[in-house]
This record gives sequence, C-alpha cells and structure tokens, in this order.
Amino acid sequence: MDELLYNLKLQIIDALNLEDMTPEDIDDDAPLFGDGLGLDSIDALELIVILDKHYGIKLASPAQGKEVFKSINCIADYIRKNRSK
Amino acid sequence: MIRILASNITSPIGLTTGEAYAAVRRGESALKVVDGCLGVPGKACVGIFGDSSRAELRLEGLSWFESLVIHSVREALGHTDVDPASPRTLLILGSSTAAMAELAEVPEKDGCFLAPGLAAQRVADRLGFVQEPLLVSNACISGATAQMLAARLLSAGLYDHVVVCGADVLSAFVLAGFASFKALSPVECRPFDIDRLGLNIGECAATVILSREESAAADAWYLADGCLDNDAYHVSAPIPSGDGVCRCIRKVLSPGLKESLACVTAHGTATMFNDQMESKAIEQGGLGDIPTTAYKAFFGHTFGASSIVESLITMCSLDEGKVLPLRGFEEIGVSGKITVCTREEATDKRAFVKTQSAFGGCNGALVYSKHPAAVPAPVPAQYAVVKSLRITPDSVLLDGTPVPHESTGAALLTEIFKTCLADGSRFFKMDLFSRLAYVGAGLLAKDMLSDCEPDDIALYFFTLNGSVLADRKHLSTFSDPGAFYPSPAVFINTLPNVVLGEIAVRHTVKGETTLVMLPRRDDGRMEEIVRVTAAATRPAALLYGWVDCEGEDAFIADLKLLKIKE
Repeated sequence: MDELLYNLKLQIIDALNLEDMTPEDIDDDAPLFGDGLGLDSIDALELIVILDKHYGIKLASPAQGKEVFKSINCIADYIRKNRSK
Repeated sequence: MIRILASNITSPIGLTTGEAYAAVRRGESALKVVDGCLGVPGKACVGIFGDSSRAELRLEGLSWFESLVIHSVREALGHTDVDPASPRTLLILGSSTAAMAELAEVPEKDGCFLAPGLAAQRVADRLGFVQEPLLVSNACISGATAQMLAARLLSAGLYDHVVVCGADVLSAFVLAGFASFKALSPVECRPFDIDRLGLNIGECAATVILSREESAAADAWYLADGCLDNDAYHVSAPIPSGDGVCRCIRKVLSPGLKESLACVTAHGTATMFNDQMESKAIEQGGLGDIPTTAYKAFFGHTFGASSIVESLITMCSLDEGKVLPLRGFEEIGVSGKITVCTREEATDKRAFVKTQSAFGGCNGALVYSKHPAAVPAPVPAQYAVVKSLRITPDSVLLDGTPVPHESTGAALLTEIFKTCLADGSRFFKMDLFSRLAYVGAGLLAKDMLSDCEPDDIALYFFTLNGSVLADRKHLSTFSDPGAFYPSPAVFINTLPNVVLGEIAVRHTVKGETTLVMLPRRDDGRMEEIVRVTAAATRPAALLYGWVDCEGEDAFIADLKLLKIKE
C-alpha cells in the first residue's frame, strides 16, 4: 500500500477510534460517510484536524471538505496537491 | 405558583439586572474582537469581562467561575429577606462546563477539586447556605433545567426558596472546543440572518430567586410553565425538523396562552443548524406569528446563564411595554416561517415563551407570565423498581445476579459492550464516563422499553466527577505551545450530559434527560429529585442513578429502572 494512504488510514483509525480496524480493512475508493465507514458530522470535523495536524492543510468548514472527504483516495489526492508539511 | 422574587445579571455590560438591561437599551454589547484570547491563536469575537472587572470580581481562594456565581447570588439575595442559612432554602447552579473549564488555570490541583459539585459546595459555603447545593449540567439548557427542577422542589413543598444561578465563564478550554467545531463567528453574531457565521462565546452569571405562592401578587413575574425533552437525533446536531423544541412548545401552549404572549425569546445561537431548526420548531409549534427576538448579539452565548439572562432581559423590556428588536438580524436566513422582531414594538402583553436547545439532544420551552393560571399540585405517581444494575471495575450485577465476564477495569466495559450490547453505536468514541453510563443504561433498557412511548421515557443521572477524564484529555490537545489541535471528538465528551444524548439516540428516549452533579453521593437527595420529577412529568419509565468515574480502575454505576404502576 502507498505510504501516504497507509499513514492516512492509521491516523483516521486512531483519531476516529475505529475499534478493531486495520488499514487493510478500509477500501481506498469506498465512501467514508453514509454507507461506507458510516462516519458522522463530528468525524468530518476530526478529519479537518488530521489534515491540519499532519499535513498543514487548513479547511475552514466541513462544507469545504465535502468533496475532499468522499473517499481515502480523494483525501490523499488533496493532500498531495496541498500539503505544507 | 412559582414567583421570581429577585434577580441578578452579572455580565460584562452590567453587574445587576437593571444595569445590564440599561446597557442593552443603550445598544451596548459585551462582544468584542480579541486577538489571541486567553492564549487561543487567532482572532475571536467574545463576550468577555475587562481586566479591571475580572480583578475586582475575583475572590481570593476561589475560581473565576465561583467568584462570578457568588457575586450574582449575593446581589440577588440582597433584594430579599431570604435566609440562605435556612434548611428550607436551596441553591441550584446550572452550568455546562462549570469548574471543569478552569483545569487549565490550576493544573496542579487534582480532579476532585475541580468536580463541579464541589465548586457548587464552595460557593454555597461562602454564601452561608446550609443545604448541600445541586449543579445541573445539561449543556446550553442547564439554566432552564435548573429552574424547572427548582419549581418542582418548591411545588412539592420541600423548600420555601430556591436560588437558581446559571453561569459559565470564558476559557481556553471552551474556546478551543468550539473552534474545533468550526462553530465560532469571527464577528458579532447574527441570529436567524442569511449571513450568520456561527456563535460568539460569552461569560455571565445570572440568578433568579424562586418561591412558591398560593395566589398571584400584582406586578410580579412567575415561571408559569415549562417542558424539557430530548430529540434523540444526534449528540451535537439538532434534529432538522425541530421536533424536540416543537414538542416542548406544544406542551406548554395551554388554551388561551398564545393570546397573552408578547414574544418568543429564542435561543438564536446564530449557528446554521440551530437557527434553522429553531425556526421550524417555532413555526410548527404554532408561534410563527408571534414576534421572535433573541439576545446573543448582546451577551454572546453564555451557555448555562443564557436561559436566565435572556429571560430576565425580556421581563425588563415587557415591564416597559416593549419587545426589543433582534440585534444582528437583517435578512431572513431560515426556512421556518417566523416573525423576527426587527424594530422596537409596543405591547401590553406580559407573558413570553423562552426556547432553548443543547448538545446532548436536550431542548426546553419555558413560559414566564405576570398573570399565571393556577396550576393544580401534582398528584404523586406510584413507581416500582423493575430492574437494577451495579457496575464496578470487577463486577456487574443485574438485579443482584452476576453477569459473567473475564476482564476488569476499563476493559470490562468494552467486554460487556461487545458481548451484551454490540449495537453498532458510537461506543468506541466515548470517554470512560460515557462508556460506563452507556453500558449501564444499555443493560437496564434491553427489552424493557418497547412498551413505552419514546416521549414517555426519562433519564436522570447523578455524578460527582462527571467528565473529568475527558476534560484532561481535551486540555492535552491544545496546551502545548505551537500545537493547537483541539479534537471535536474529545471535546464533545467534556460535556457530561452528552452521554444522555447517546443513550437517548440508541434507545429512542424523547422525554427529559438531565445530569445533576452533587458534592458527594447522596441517595436520599437523588430519590427526592427523581420523586418530584416523576410527580411533575409522570413518565412511564424513568432510568436513574449514580454514575461516577475517577479512572480506569475506579468507577461505579448504580442504576435503577422505574416504571409507573397502572
């Protein structure tokens, strides 16, 4: 697995307390909200913290993150283009 | 009838009710933009006391929260001959964060010092109360819940006077938490407006002294009625339909009341979701044609104080025959059909409805009036304990019978969750206190609530330490210089009533859900509160008890499920 994808999944599992999950359990293209991982509005805010803390990317609101947070691949793409650390 | 004998507002724009109201009339606001407020990076628009007021009000040996409460209660008491030293006088505080928010100020103190119930006790001691105080922690509706609890205790004849003080103070703790929720407006908030950007946090203490009277005196204000409930939707997001607030409004809207209403004093936090939801609730509740006003642009969101301070300002304005315009509002930005008060309106009516909502899914609507209808005394209902539960770090007893398990401590809760509940809930996102209460409620409620209507089930939990473990964790997410990353998932758990929201969502509990913090475990006091609540609201099922958590190997849950006898 791509190192960025792997680390990102670890960070998400840790911050979102996805008990008993490993990076291998998370599909790169599956939706994170709704059917996929079933994340909610607090998780969306937590993803904003992950982007800020680990990649130096500041998103103003969950609305801005709507496209970005569609899947692991979408987040990874966004990180590659916008990261400052 | 529950009369308001005296009041106080201790706010950045005035240290008495009269001063604060005069400041509002002059168009003053407590809100200002501060750079790096209390060490939180960036600009924040907050309702904050100036440095000189802070120094003047701060009492030696007590926290800022305790100092503000003491000022507010003492000033209000000064207008009455109510004796705090009488066993017939009780003090109830309402606060969402209380002393917890001041962990950052006193890192060397142990968790116990910061238990809100003990803060309430220090306040009560300093003011000379002999009864042990209560502290209601129901997030933003704490002040409303505290008043309802006071009214019930008075109606039951248990006290002659109850002093209710709602208070919350500004701190890095709270600012960082709401920053992580992306809920803060960088400018003065604009409730119900199309351009609203979020809320401003304010600090304030506000007091009402309540007493029970047989007949209405001329020219006095009364807490005429009230209803609290839960929308069982999500711990931090209000139900879009406004169902929770709407049900409260409908329950208090007795025949003929609407014609006597001068206005609705809304919660109006100016967040996207609250105002939209509240507009739907006011419309669906049948009050869309009554002028709606709100005061968050004067004081900021003062959490535990908000319900009381905003009700007091409305009483002052109606005493002058006026409904005040909603500061910050220009163009409607909500879809519920409501009548926002945009200019000062003359009125000869002397009653209003106060609405509010909070994290944890709880909502309320209170009615204040100068001409209250007589309310018959509640008829005590008979309840039976149908199930009981006790969890400690090394045992789980259901109706006295051990539930088999292998692990102990924090792992015990996870094991019980996995083997007995495993309901795909947010369990793993909860702090230990919430996990304990959640697992306890789950074991008790399992297969026991299906014969009850959702709005006929109530939760009353009592604690000493509450969310102290989550509070420390929250602090650690932003206390290192240069590493400001507060976590919304951690912060939400610092509100100790949030677990009641989790339980409400899981078990579809839509009745009252309240967390009370005590200075120490006192089963007699718990039962007294549950008894008067049950008499006043007559739920079909009531889940209550003591839940406390000091650490991974030190916790206890002692819960009972009551059901009404036919």
